[in-house]
Amino acid sequence: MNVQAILAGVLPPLALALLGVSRFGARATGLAAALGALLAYGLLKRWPALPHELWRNADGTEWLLWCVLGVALLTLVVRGRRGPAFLVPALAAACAAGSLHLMLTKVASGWSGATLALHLGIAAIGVGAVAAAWQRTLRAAPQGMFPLVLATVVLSLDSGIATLGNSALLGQLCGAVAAAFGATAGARLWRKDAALLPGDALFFAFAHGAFLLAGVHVQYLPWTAAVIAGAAPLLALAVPRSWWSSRPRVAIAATSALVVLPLLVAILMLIAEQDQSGY
Amino acid sequence: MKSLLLLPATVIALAYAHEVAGAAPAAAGRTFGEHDWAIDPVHSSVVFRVKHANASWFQGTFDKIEGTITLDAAKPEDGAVHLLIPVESVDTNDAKRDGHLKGSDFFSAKENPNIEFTSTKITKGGDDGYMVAGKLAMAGKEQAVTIPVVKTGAGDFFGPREGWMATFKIKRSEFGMTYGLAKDALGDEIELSIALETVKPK
Repeated sequence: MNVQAILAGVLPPLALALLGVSRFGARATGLAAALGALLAYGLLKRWPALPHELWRNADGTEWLLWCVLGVALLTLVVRGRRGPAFLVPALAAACAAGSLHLMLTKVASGWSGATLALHLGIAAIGVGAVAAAWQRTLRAAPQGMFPLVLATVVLSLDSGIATLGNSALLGQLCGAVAAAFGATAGARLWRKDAALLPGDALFFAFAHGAFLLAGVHVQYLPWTAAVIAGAAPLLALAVPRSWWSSRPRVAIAATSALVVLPLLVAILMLIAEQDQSGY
Repeated sequence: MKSLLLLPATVIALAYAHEVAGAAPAAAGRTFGEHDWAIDPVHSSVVFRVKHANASWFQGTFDKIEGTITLDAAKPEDGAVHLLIPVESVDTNDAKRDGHLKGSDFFSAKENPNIEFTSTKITKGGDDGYMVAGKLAMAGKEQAVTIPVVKTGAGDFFGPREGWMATFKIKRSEFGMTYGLAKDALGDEIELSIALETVKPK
């Protein structure tokens, strides 16, 4: 295990989230995660090309990082605003389609428009649905530690899935985003009001979906594992809304189990598929 | 309700933009002259070696190579070399390691499926040798390199053939491949040996 690489991936988002959340509350989480992932990429591989340079010579992973930053900024705009329930899922879907289009610049250069539309459509529907499910959970669950911890666990498992999908780098970047959520949860020790709002479903759903999409399309993550992992947060919809008011502990346990189990199944599938060589 | 329109509108607009951007002009046809040669992939090989753990020299191969060479010994400056090595053909005798090499830590082969060399200048370099300057592109990065090439022979086997050997070093970090450098797990310097057999193109 390369401790130096792990620290390079985790320390920037951790530090940014602790500082940001201490000063501005949980609204800083997404931005800290996105900037932390960009910094981590710079420390682990190279400083990412700027978006105008990526137009000329695309790199799917670097587009992913800029898109995560863009969605973090968009989340800042929408998170505290009153709006229709479908606004956040619709934005998440549009962001997923747009980001995947950028990430696929090279890979899809030989695809037909119909093939590309199919892939973008599936990504948009999937990420939009996850945003809707996560938004419902954030509305129903009591504001506090639980959504932050669950988001940290989900993104950490996504990180493991990306790593097992032959990309340690993608796994480390996803781990950077998870670290920012974890730091926000930790910051609640002294910043009691740090809590996710329903609008934060935009950033979470996008990050969860985008790293898995990058794993499948830009790297070598098997799509079966990605679909199982990607759909995991949807199972939170199976928890009746009434449980959150009448039996909140049961609701927390059931939501955690339903969301985390498919991710563990995806990880076990990938481990089983691994070549057992000594490499 | 307007927000819901974002999804289909975005997808259709992106797919249309992709179609427009992908409308590349048709490649021009090419006729071959007496100094044109094609790589015989069955009798050519690409071997690379790198220091592992600062201890041993570890070797691997790319099992496929294609390309063309145009060379008139009397006028090497008019010549051209173009080589294409599919990254998918990497073989290090370990499927897990091959998969890692194709991933984002090294080649990002889905986005950058080929290692490509395109010459920019060829000069004479000894009795049977040439210095071939050009651009080497891999993993989404391009670097200028100058490769010493030696003619190893000429013969006839179902048509005329010529043999060429190029051995040179590159630094993988210059192509953005820095995985394993920090702990010296894998060396930065890669030695490449490319043995080519060329035949008359059909």
